[in-house]
Amino acid sequence: MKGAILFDSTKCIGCEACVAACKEKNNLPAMIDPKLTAYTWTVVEQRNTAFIRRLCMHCESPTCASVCPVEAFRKEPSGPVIYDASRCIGCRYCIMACPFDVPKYQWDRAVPIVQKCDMCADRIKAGQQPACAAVCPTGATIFGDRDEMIQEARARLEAAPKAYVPKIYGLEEVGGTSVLMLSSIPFASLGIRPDLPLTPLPALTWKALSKVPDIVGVGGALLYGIWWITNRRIRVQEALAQEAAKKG
Amino acid sequence: MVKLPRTAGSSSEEEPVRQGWRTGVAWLTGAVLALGGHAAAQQLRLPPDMAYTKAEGSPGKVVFSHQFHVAVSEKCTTCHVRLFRMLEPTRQVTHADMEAGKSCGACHNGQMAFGPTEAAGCSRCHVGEGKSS
Amino acid sequence: MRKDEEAMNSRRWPEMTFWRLVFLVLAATGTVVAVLRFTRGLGATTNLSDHFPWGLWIGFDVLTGVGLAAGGFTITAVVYLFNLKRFTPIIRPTVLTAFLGYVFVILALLFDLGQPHRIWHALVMWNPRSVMFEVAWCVMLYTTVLALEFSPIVFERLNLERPRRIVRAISVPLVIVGVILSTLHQSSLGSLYLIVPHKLHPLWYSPLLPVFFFVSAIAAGLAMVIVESALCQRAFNHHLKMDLLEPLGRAMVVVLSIYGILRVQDLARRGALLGLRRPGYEGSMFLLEMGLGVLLPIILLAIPRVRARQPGLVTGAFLAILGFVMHRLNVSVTGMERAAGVAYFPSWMEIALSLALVAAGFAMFGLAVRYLPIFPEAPHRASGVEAPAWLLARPASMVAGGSPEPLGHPSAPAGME
Repeated sequence: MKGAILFDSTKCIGCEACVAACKEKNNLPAMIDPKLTAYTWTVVEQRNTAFIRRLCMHCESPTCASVCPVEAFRKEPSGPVIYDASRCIGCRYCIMACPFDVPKYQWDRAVPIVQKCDMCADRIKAGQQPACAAVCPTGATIFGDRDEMIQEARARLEAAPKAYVPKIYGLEEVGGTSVLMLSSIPFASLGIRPDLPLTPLPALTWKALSKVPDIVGVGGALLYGIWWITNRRIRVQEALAQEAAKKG
Repeated sequence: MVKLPRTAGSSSEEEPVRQGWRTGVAWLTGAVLALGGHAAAQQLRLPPDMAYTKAEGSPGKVVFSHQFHVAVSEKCTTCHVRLFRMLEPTRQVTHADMEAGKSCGACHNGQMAFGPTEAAGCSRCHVGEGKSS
Repeated sequence: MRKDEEAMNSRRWPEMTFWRLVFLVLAATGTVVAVLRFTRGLGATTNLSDHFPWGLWIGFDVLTGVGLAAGGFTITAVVYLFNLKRFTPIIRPTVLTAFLGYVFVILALLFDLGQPHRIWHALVMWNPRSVMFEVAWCVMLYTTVLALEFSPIVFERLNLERPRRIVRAISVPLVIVGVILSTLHQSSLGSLYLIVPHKLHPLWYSPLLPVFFFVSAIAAGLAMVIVESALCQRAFNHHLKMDLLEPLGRAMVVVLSIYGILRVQDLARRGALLGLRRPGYEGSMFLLEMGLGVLLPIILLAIPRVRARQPGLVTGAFLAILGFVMHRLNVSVTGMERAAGVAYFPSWMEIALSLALVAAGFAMFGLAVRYLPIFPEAPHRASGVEAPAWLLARPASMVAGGSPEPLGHPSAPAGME
């Protein structure tokens, strides 16, 4: 099963049970930061009367996994994008590149690592729900198979079209994510970028990287050719000069 | 039936409000459903009342009710995880803990709420088995 | 007697000049910052944050540093692949600059990385889809190439003839590999930013970023050769080889023009130039970068009378370097600030460490010039120290200038051999 989280903002009452459960599950410090940090992996933000959760979107084609030079991020078949701290060298490219600004750094540590929500990958493997979904008292956060969550989201949009903005956020953004969101107000008002491309971002760098073999091959041949031609020209000149010297 | 527009918020302002009573009924249905949905959301799925482990010399089991306590604060983070675990509750507290301001004692200290004193009445907490507050 | 005493004294205590004082202050401050960085972490020593994870140490030390060391591959290509042997005298100082430049970049990276002791991870943990992986490997390999290109100078000093010959024998393939590796990583440093089209300001974001980075690096490398020669002239009382540097100035005009046209064309096509009518913060920085760092050097260096004279040539080159630094910082800092929602300015510690590393580079350059056969003519007269015996006793064939000897000839000019 490819797991995904469905967050329905219309059901969220901002109780922060998800925040608390996440803190407990991951042994994070109790202090709750207003925005995501290395020590707070999910937050609930209030915009007027609406609430929005911020957490890792667990993209289908994760930018963080693509940019990490040592493959410290991995998209699991079960849904989560997980981070292997033992590989991380601290280059912070993931923090720079993530379109949702999710990965955060332990700036206060002498030996820091990146931290972000891992969709409770170990709980999922054990057949449980992520902690946030397990404790949500209103069902604003639920967890299940991605296709089923999409169906559920579609059903809700059809059943109460006036209650929602007709969009399942995460369905297609940057190639789709495993955290889907529904909202009653435009997502931009909730602080979620409306301008992300529908194609995965890693395609942009792959366009450049895929040319590397060509540069090596063509470049090598070209440079060798230049050397060969110019070198030959010099040798021919020298040979002619030597001949002229012999005669003269 | 109202059609789902392609982009967010594009339909209502553009379509002229001329379609007559059918549109009116559709709007009303939608409004009722939305309100109903919101009301349903208020039916919180809280953990059931939980009994704490009865210690030696305790007059009766302490039973904690979420239903009662969520009226205290709209945020679960007021108590979780600072004072109480959520996923794996310990279900253990002593008067000593409370007097140190831990666990229930963070509020039940005689000032914010009644404290663990004889004057307050032991049975306010030690309700015994099978009873909810 | 007095003169001998003076000479002896000067040999025990090196003279404290202004620049030596500057170096000592920078070195001391840099050491303090280094200790703080490793004991208290990045948050305590830099103005970096989750909103702004890459700052001066990446934008200047790494991005700019790598570009300014680009002379290494351009000049070696000119001499060894295009066979323009008359440029041989500038190979050694250029390779030295490049080698020190890359060492500087790696050292700076060791401070910026969160866990620098794991820098070797890229050797065994691979992600070929990552631009940073490619950069890491290319920089590692190219630094090795530079070390090899530099080694004959050291072998010569140590009179190790056999290793010198071995490296000399592979000079052409080595230079080819060096040019390819340089092309790859100079452009890839630009490719790093391809993945943030929604974050990098349209005045700098472009699908052509790798091309911009590569072409500007070529110009910067050439400019560095000119400026570095001017600095050596002042420091070591060298004669500035205008006959060699002036053609580099001319080449700079061509390269900068290509770069300028590419940038403007790309911006026009994407409609990004419209915002310049009433330039805000980003617009002003862009105009400064292009005007001061591209247009002005092109104009100056295109005028033969300006280019043929030292002040004009060096000014043109210096402006180009300024423009190059501005471009890299505009891409990494200016262009990223709006999307990040924060204004970033490096902390004094970030600045201090970067300056300390630059100062160390200068110092190493000076040491190398003093103890290694970098320059064919004796550089020691200005400092009042006796030239070492090996330099005075060297065979005439090591002297640059005169007609170029054919490759393979034992008395071939002092280049990489």
